[in-house]
This record gives sequence, structure tokens and C-alpha cells, in this order.
Amino acid sequence: MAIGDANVGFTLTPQGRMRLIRLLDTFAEQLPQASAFLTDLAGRIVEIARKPVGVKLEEISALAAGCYASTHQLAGAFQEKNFALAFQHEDDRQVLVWPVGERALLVVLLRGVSALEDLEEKMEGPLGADLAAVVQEAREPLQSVPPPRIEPAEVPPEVRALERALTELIMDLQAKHPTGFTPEVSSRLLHAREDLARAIAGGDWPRAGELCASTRAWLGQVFPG
Amino acid sequence: MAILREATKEVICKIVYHGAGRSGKTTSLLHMNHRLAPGQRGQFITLETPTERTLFFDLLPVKVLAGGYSFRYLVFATPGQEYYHASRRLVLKGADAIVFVVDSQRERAQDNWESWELLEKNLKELGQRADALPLVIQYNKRDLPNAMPLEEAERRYNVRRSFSFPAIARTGQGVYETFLTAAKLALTRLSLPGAENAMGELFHSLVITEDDGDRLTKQLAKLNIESGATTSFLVEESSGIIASAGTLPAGDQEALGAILACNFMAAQELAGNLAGASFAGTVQRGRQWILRSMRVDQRRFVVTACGRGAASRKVRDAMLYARGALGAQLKMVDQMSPNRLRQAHEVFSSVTAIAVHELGKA
Repeated sequence: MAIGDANVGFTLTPQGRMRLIRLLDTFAEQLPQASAFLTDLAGRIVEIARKPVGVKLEEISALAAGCYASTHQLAGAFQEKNFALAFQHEDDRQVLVWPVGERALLVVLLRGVSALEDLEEKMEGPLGADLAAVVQEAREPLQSVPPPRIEPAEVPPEVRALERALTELIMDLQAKHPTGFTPEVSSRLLHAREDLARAIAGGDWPRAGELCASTRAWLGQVFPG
Repeated sequence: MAILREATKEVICKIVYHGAGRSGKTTSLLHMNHRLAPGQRGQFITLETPTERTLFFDLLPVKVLAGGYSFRYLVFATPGQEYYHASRRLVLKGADAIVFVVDSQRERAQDNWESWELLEKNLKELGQRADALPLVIQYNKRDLPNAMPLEEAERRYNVRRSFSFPAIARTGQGVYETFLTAAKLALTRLSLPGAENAMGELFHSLVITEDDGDRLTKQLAKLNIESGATTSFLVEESSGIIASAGTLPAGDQEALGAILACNFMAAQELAGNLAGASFAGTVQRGRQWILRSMRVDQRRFVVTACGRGAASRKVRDAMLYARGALGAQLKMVDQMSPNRLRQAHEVFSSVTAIAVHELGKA
């Protein structure tokens, strides 16, 4: 399973990888029936120790990352920097998710109770510090900066008002004459909207005004009164 | 699933933007966030990767006052990438309307089509009837030279002859009109007689009266006393917080409810991926707070926030007891809802147009 942009930056040296595997294995061996893996914040698995059988690990990893992202938001709402997270099952199976160095997540699958407190102790001790150091060393800068997502056009108020009035008129007509919007009418309306969208996006305000007026006039003919 | 809270005169609806990766869903929400006045929008939340790809969901709460009611739309965008397909299904759960965002570029035709198929598949898996759900299509990126002609786009994607809009999300053209139509359709559906039959079981807990709200809040207050919790919430998976007691954290409550709901659903989905495991709940542990959540029934769960000093066993026992009591209360709400809903149709019929008109002023 691949995802679109490999731009997160988790390059490990062979020595770093071995060190990471050993650390993950140490986490797992000290907990009952456990496996441990490290993912980046986007849920891509970096390394696994004691891979569990019959489990869709990539799906778990993607969900754990999503869950952690929302947990991080919750932590903010409660004025906390971070929350560690445990999913508990009725048969004492647990999934623990722990942030590492603000760059990665440690995910531990295990059986047994009170493991969250155990893990908290380990993460705050030398084992956690070692893991954070591996993550820190693996860090590399982002390779590209995405372009800004929005560049809103500064539409003059009079054009904005004409556009808004046209939208209201169309919605009103759709409510009053639901069967009047035949495929031909819908198609022409779609084109009229596209012309208007392009005119506004291009900053051609006179044309935008004309298009609003001509579309209103045409709708007046199609739906008289 | 929409909720009408009579106690607080609030109507809550969920609108979900779905489409292929990089089709413009998040950009559409960003534009709406830019366009709406501060009083009309809540906190915009995006859970994305370091390279700005949606990881779990984006959320923009939109608010409008009309006819004495506060209409609150939880506007979500799903992650487009295949890797996050399990998270995407969760976000779709309980949607009152869908906006399908099409990338108009000819070379994205296959991606759009696959995304449409996934939408239908996901809704089916959730037990929601795709044809009973209002759908609006946003043909995005109409300014690009390789955009396919609108006729071709309609033929390919508008199989249900839904309302459709050309758009340029980057600059905002057509984005708000698409949202307005989806917002209107979501409410119109609720105002139609017989809507409860068309929507099936999901419709049942739509109306929460003042008395229901009081009873649920009392149960939560009791839970706070017995567990030592500072705050407790009862949360519904698609519409967020139904009732709460105690000291609420500062900030946008709609956003908080939506995050709690998505967080819990993801935890449950993750549990389902571990063969043979039955989900019990989550624990979230910070330096000062511990949040615990536990399922109450099929669609609702309870959350407590305790200081680190609270005894785990005591909290767990109190939550188990509260789960039973809240479950019994909610069963009564569900049984009564169809009757209340018939009365509520009048509310929806009379105020829908006003609400959409108010939103149109943005």
C-alpha cells in the first residue's frame, strides 16, 4: 500500500535502524504478548518488532495516526501538550500509542492490564530517551513547501452582491419549480455558472456583472413571474 | 444524523465533502472559513500530514441563527488517499448530505470514478442508503486548461442527476454556492413528511427535549460525583455532544464534540482490526488529565475527564454504572423520537428557508 507523497523525512542509517529495532524489541519483550512498531505522524510504518500474525498492521497504523491526531487536538482543549492513548478491549488486549519526539508514534499491541502506566514509566526513563534520540537523528528537513492553498479573489462588493442575489434566485426557483430544471435548463445554468466563476477568478468584474444580469434575464424567461 | 435539541433550540447537521486525493476538499473548507464572518464559523480544524494531506478529517463548524433556532453544520472533509480508507468511512458515518468534489482535469477521471465507487461502497458498509442521501457535485479546478467539458463531466459523474456546480476552490468561486445547496438539502430532507421512514433507524434519536436533556445531564452530574471526574460528556457519533456536566474546557464545543466522536470511532475501528477483540473503551493520559471513554449503546458513548489523582477502579466502576443508567434513558428518547419528530417537522419546514437565507448573506 503506497501513499502519494513520501515527504515526511524518516531516513535511518543502517546503524540507526538496528538501534531502533533493538529498542522496539526491548519495549515488546518487557510487556506480555506484545509487539511494537514506530510510525511517522502520517501513519507510515518505519520499523516493527515482533510482528503480530493475522493483523492488518498498515490499517492499524493509519487509524492510530488519525486517532492520535484527534487526541492531540483534545489534549489542546484540555490545556495539555500531549495525551498518550490506550484502546482497551474486554479481553485485556490493548493498543497503546505514544508520541515520540513530536515526529513519530510508538504503537504497542499487547495483552494485560495497566500497561499504559508501565509504558509511561519506560517512556520517561532511559528507554524513552534512547528512542527519542533515534527519531531525532533520523529527522531530515521537508523536501518541499506546498504552495498556499487559497488565494481568494478580492471581489468588489457590488459584484459579490450580484452573485449572491443570483444564487438566492436560483435556490428560490429550485424550491418553487423543482421539475422546471430540465436537463437543458440545468446544463445551460451550469455553463452560465462556469463563465461567471472564470470571470470572477480572472478579475473581469464588468463581464461578471454582465453574466449575472444575463443569467437573471434568461431565468426570468424560463420561469416567468 | 441530524439532532434537534429542543432544550437549547439547536439543530445540528453533518455535511461531508468526499472526493479523490487533491481534488480540493480541504481547500473548499478553507475558502468557506475565509468567507464566513467570525460569528458564523467555529474553529477550523485540520488533521493533516506534514505535507498538508488530510490524515483523518478537516472540520469547519458553521453556525447560523434563524427562527429562534441555532443551526449548526458540522462540515467535514474526508481524507482522499487510499491509505486512509478506514478513517474515511468513519467520517462519512451519519452524514446528512454529501458534497462530491470532482477534480475536472481529464487525467484525474479514473481517480474521481474510483472515489465515487468508494463513496457508494462505504455508505453501504455503514448501512446508509446512498440514494436516500442528498448529494451535490462540485466540479473543481474549472480554470485549468485540461479541465474536461462540463457535458462530459455531467455524463461521467452526475449519474443521479444531482445539483452540480462548477468551482475554482483556490480562489473560492462556486464553493459557497455548493455548500449552501447541500445545507439546504440536508434540512429540506428533515422537513419532509415521512422522512423518518426514508432514513430508517438512524433517524430515531433526532429530537432531544428539554426534559431528556435534564435527565441526561443529571446522570452525568452523578457520574462526576461518584467518579471524582471534573467533566463528563455524552457523545453521539455523528453529531457530537448530546449532554454534558461539570466544568467544560474553553473553546468551540461543536468542534470538541466532533473530535471526541471521530476519536472514539477510530479507536473502535482499530479495535475491530484486532481479530477477536471486543472494544471496551479508551484512556487518554496527559500530565494533569486522564480522559476515559466507554460505549453506552450502538451510537453513543460517555467520556469523563479526571485529574491524575482519581482512582482508576473507582472511575471505571462509576462509568459502568452510568453506562447502564444512560442507556436506559436513551432507550426512552429513541422510543419517543418518532412521535416528537412529527411535531418537529413544522420547525424544520418553517425555519429551513430562513436558515439558508441567513447563510446566503455570508
